[in-house]
Amino acid sequence: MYPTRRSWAVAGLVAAVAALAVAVARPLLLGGAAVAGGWFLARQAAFVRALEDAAADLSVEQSPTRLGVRTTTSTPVTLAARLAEPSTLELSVRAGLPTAAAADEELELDMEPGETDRAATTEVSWPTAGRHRFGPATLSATDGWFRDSVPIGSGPTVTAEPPGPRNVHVGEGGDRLASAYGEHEAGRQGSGLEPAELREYVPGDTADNIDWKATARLASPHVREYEAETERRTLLVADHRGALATGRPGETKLDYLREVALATAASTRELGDPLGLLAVGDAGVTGRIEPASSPRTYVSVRRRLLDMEPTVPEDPPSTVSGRSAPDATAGGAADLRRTIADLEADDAFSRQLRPFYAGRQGYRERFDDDPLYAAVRAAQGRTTGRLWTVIFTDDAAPDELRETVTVARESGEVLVLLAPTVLYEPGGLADVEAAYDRYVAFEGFRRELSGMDRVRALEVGPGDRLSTVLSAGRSRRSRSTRGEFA
Amino acid sequence: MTPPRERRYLLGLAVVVAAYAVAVGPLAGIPAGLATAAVGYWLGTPYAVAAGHVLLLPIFPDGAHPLSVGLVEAGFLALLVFESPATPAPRRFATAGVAAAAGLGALAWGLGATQSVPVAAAVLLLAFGATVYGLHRYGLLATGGLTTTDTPTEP
Repeated sequence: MYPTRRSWAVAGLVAAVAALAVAVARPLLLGGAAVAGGWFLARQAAFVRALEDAAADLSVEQSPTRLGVRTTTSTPVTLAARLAEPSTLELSVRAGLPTAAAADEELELDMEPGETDRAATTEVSWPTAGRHRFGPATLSATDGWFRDSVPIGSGPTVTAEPPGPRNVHVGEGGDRLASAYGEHEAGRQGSGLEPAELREYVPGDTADNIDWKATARLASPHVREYEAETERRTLLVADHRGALATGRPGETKLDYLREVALATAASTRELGDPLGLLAVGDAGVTGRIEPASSPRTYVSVRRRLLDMEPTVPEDPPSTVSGRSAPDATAGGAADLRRTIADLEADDAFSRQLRPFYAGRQGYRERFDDDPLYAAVRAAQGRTTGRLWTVIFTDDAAPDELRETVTVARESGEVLVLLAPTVLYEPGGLADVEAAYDRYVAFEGFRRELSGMDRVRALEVGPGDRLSTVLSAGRSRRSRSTRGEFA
Repeated sequence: MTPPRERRYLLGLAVVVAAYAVAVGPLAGIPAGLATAAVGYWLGTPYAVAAGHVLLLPIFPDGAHPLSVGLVEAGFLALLVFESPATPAPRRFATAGVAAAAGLGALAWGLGATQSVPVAAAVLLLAFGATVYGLHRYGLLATGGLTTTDTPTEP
C-alpha cells in the first residue's frame, strides 16, 4: 500500500501539529494531532477493506485464442475482468503477459467505480520459443488517498514453437510408424534390477542366484532371474548437404529430418544409450561426436542438430570442438590411385597386390568422392563393437545410399530415414499423377533398402502432402478398376 | 483538493460549529467554529481539525477545561462519522476513525499530563507511525500482496 501525495500531506500535517505543540508547549494541540492521525488511519483502514472486497469479488480471465503457437505468428489475447459487486475504488487490471511476449499495446483495462464488467483484447506475438506461463493479472486500486497492486488469479501457459514442420510423417508406404524410434528390448535374462522370472534350480547355477525366500516357500531350490540391462550404441548420421534444402522455408527435407533426429536423440537419452553424431555436408564431415551416454554428449548432439544448416558444395568442412574436420572425403581415392601407380613395378610384391587393388579400384573411386559414404566408412573403421546406425538423408543419390547402408550394416543394425524428394519440391504436387509415380519409385527404393539384412528404411515427410499423393494413387486404382468392369 | 460536499458532511460541519459554540461560548466559539468549518469545507477534515485546534490556543491562553476540550473533540469525531458515507468502506472508516482518534487522544492526554510535551509528541507520532505500518502489513496479508510468482518463461 502506497500513500498518494494527498496522504503524505495529511501525515505531514499530523507531524506539523505535534511539532507546533512542542514549540508552543501546549498539549492541547496534541489532541489535534491525535484526531487528524485517527482520520488518516481510518482512511487507510477503509482502503484496505475496500481493496480486500474488490480482490475477493474480482474474477480475471486471461485467454489467448491458442495455447500452441509458432514464433512467427501472433495471437489475440483477451483480458476480461468481472466484479461480483461494484467497487467504490478506481480499479485497473493489467494482464500478466510473460516477459518473452510482445504485445502491440499494453493489455490493461480500467474500471471506474460502479463498473462491473470490462474486457480488452490485443495481439501478442511470441518471438522466443519455449513455454511461456502467464503471471497472475495485477489489480491496481486507488481511492485517491492510497494505492496498491495485488496479484489476481492465475494465467495459462502458451507454448511457442519455432517455425518448422507441422505434420511429420514417419512410416512405411504411407502407414505411420506406431512405435517410438529407438526402443529396443534385450529379450534375454542376466544381471539387472527388473525381475524376469523364477525358475527351479538346475546344476550349474551359482548359489548366489538362489532366491532363498522362494526356495523356502516352494520347498525346492529356485533361482530368480533378472532382465539383462543392455545398451545400444547409437550413431546418428545426419546428411545436411545442399540437396536437403529442398522445400519451403521451415519445411525443407532437413527440417523434417531434424525433427525426427531430435526425437530419436531424445528417445536414446531416455533409454540411457550411448549416442553419437556424424554430420555430413557437401565437402565432408562437418561434425563428429563419438557415442557416449554422458549428459554433455546428449546436449551436444541436440545442439548440433539444431544448428545444422544445408551446406553448398563450395563450403569447406567446418571446425568442430577445436579440431579440424576429419578427412573422410579427401585423400581416400587419391591415395588409392597413388598406391596403384606405385604397384606398376614388375616385382613379386607388386604382382601379388595388384589384383587386390585393381578389383577394388572401381568401388573405391566411385564412392570415395561421396561424402556420406566416405564418412560412414570412416566411422565404421573407428568403431569397435556393435553400433546402431541411423542415417538421415534423402533419395537424391540411391546408388550412393545403397552402398553407404551396405557399409553401415557391417557393424550392426541400420535404420534409414529417407526424405522423398517428391514430397518436398514446392511445385512437386502440381501434377499429382506424376508425383504419385515418383513416390511409387521412391517406395520401391525404400523397400529395397528395407529388404537388406539388418536394415530398416522409413520415409519422412509432410503428412498432408503424402496424403495428397496417396489419394491420387487410390483414385487412379479405382478408375482402372471401373475401366476393367466397364 | 475536493472535500466531500454531501449534505451529511455539511451537517457534520454544523455539529463542529455547535460544539465550538457550546464549549467556548457563542461570542468566540461561533466565529472559530465557522472558520474551522470553512477550512473543512475547502480542504477537508484533517485540515479542519488542525485549524480548529490552533484557533483554540488564543481562546484558551491559560489552558482549557477538559470538558470544553472534550466537547470540541466530540464535534470533530462527529464530523468524522458524518464523512464516512463518502469513503470506500463507511463502517470501517467510522469505527476505525473513532477508535484510532480516541486511542491516540487518550495517549496524548495521558502523556501530556504526566510527561513533558516533547515526550508526549514523540510517543504520539511513534504510535501513529507504528499503526500506519501495521495496517500496511495487514493490507499485504489480507489482499495476497505478499505472494510470490514463479518464473513465467521456460526454455
